[in-house]
Amino acid sequence: MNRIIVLLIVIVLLFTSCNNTINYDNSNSVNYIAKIAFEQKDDGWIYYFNIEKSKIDPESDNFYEFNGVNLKHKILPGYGISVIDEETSKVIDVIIPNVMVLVNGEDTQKDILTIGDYFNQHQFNAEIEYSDLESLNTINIDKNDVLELFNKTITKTEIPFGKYYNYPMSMLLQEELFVKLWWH
Amino acid sequence: MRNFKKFILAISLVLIISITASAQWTAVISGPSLTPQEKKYSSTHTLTATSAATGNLTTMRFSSMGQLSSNLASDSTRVLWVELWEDDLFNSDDRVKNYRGEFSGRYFVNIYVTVTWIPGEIEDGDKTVELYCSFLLIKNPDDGTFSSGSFFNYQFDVE
Repeated sequence: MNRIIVLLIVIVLLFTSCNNTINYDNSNSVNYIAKIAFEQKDDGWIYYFNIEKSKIDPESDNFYEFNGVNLKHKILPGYGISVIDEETSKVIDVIIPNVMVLVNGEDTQKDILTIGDYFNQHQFNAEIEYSDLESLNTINIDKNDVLELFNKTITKTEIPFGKYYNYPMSMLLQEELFVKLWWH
Repeated sequence: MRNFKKFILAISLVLIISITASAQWTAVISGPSLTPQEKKYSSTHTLTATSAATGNLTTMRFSSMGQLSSNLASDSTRVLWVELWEDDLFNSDDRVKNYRGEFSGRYFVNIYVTVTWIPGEIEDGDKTVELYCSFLLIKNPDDGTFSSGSFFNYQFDVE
């Protein structure tokens, strides 16, 4: 009798362990939907436009982000996160981030933040023309890149969240196109 | 036997004192995974300054700055608040310094030292400080109950 009980327990344990696979498909779990488009630029730079929409409050404003990440160089001069004394506005330290992104570039940070503010204020929800960016002032980022990527993004379907969805760089990691570029 | 015990105790004390006296900063500590709007506290670390420890020369060093997990919504108005505290056994703890991290989407942009509450000596004439900190990541409504993942490292530093 005892042997039968032990056997039953073993069978149940084996059955449950076989079904204990990790479910990576959490596409229904995150509370927003996203559209994203990429453009490969020189020297390992990937520019992207990301639009996120709330699933909880679909009437709320969308989130718009233009940025770029370098998948070739782990460190680049001029890229860092400043530690600033707010009382004196003095930069007291610069931290090298894990990944080189345009928003941490001393020549590009202002442009990236300006572009983000502009799109978040205007809340464009259809393709735009160059004239729609007339009052957007950038110095080191070409507005044509922004225009092209925004139009590519807004006409895309929402991206499915795959098995890497909760990892940093998730959206880039899902793009087979960039596999060869990953800091080799 | 009693003398031997005393000897071991004395050696241990000398070792402890020399370790704390030579340390001016802690090892790199992995930042916590934060659930937005839930304050998290670090453990406490004892450091010894070269002279009386001051708030101006007691800092946190951040490193390995990554990005928030894409579980959390992108939000350029989100901030991370960090408060540096000195543990006080006999009185209420002393708040030493505040930091504010700002984001663009899920990336850090800048970190601000917003205020140094105690610029001078943290405890009159005391070289030794027991430091800990709190972290608070501000919530976006679309974050749900997800956590950030560990996205930075830090150290406590006293000069």
